[in-house]
Amino acid sequence: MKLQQATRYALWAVVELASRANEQVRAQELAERYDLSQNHMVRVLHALTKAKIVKSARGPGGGFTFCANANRLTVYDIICLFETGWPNEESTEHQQHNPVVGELGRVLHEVDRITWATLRSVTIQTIIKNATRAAASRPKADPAGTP
Amino acid sequence: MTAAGLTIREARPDELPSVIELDAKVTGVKRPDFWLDLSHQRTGSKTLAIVVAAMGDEIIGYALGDLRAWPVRAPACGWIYAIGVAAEYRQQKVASALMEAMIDHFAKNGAASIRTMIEVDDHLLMSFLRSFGMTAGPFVELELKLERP
Repeated sequence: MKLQQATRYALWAVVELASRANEQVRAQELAERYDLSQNHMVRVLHALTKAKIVKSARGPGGGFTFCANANRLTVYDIICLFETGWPNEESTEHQQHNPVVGELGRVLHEVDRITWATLRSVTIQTIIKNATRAAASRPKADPAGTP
Repeated sequence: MTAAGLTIREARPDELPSVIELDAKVTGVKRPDFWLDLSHQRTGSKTLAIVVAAMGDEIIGYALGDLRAWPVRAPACGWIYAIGVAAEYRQQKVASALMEAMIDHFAKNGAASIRTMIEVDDHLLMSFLRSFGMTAGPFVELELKLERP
């Protein structure tokens, strides 16, 4: 599934901030951690602030803090904020009287239905849990430094 | 926060009516034959588990599963057939406790993975299962509606 750059940045930023609840994280740190453009990250964070998913604090100790509910916020919610044309209007082509249009519409509707169900069921907290689990199950690096 | 006084254990035979009644409330579907059939199978099975969550004598949740190699071409794995919690006891980690019990049961019986099948539009249940690390497996359910003559 192809997502715009801004959407991916937003997902990474949201997951990172939600995993560091109550911490203020600077845009620069987020950009460096994910090897991204800082300017682009700032624009993404401002959009997330407007959506009340993160909040910002100015000043030397300032930064961005996650302020939504990670157990309720889903990947679908973030995608809808950043992707053009989301949420997609549910196609009615599968209801068309023309059988060819109707059948192709049905197939595409089937794909959409599974895609939406997947994205709507993956919360930010689940991403954090699964990423932590995956990191913990990776084999530890060889102390001798063998790549 | 986990509900105080919660017990997770194997269902007793005399508790089956309570499980059937609770399942009907949770799913909206009355299916006593389904439960009675599985309860009979449990007598001769070491791997079929009917687990309940109880607060004192009250059954407030249930989970059902078995180690199976069918219905897909895959090695035997744990299949969760049902899991449910009474509405008034939700958001208290009861379902999580039931799920942990099922995972433990399957692991002890040698399963390398656990599968289940749920409605594609049941985002809440799907979200709950995904929170345990469940992801889409390598199979997809296909359906053909048979038209009655």
